[in-house]
Amino acid sequence: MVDWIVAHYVEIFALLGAIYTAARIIVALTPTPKDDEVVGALWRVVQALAKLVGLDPQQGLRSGKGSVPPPPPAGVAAFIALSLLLGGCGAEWREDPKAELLVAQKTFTAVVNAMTDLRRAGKLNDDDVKIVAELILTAQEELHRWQAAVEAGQPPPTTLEGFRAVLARLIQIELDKGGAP
Amino acid sequence: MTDITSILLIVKLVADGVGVSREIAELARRVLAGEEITEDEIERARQEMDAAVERFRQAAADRQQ
Repeated sequence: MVDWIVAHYVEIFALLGAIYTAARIIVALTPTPKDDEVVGALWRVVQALAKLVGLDPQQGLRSGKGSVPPPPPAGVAAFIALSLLLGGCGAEWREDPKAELLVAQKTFTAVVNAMTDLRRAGKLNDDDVKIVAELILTAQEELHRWQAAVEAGQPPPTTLEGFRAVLARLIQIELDKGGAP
Repeated sequence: MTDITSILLIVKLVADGVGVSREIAELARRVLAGEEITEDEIERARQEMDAAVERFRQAAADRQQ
């Protein structure tokens, strides 16, 4: 089962993303409480997938009555992909430090782009930006050190867990702000 | 009711998420097939990452003015 999920997670996310986006649009156009229940059920599936890899997408979310839960955005999809590939389901990746680093760079870039979109859409206020900027700087410096180590043929200077923890915090913010009306 | 700007933002975030997942899946397939990742690829990814961070800084500064 896990092997099947790993092999098909791109298609799973593509399908979930398409269904969820369509559902969000229908909910937006029809102010019926039933709609919210259906979308909420779909969101719980995404939550279950995210929790499989140690991320709690519900933490920090606003959950007012009648509100629609947020979608599985860029950071969540990328983070789950990273976790599945690096977190025990993809031993082959650990044998290729360059591939590990490249996946981490691409995942982080996607999360930073999502933060830029949220800022431009007015979803991140100045206080949010200070926190996000600090997290982004930490992760960027860590990835620079990681790259230098890989190029020198040395092991990463910091643990992968530390980098994942910073990414997880950024994604919590993305989920919170991306889903807020 | 969700406004159209929020819907467009959601659509973009989901599309970006699916896009990067596909990229990572393609990388996985290459590594599993025995293909080696080059240092040029890593350097290009670093440049894209640094450019993304710079865009975030600009977006942050624009709204604070």
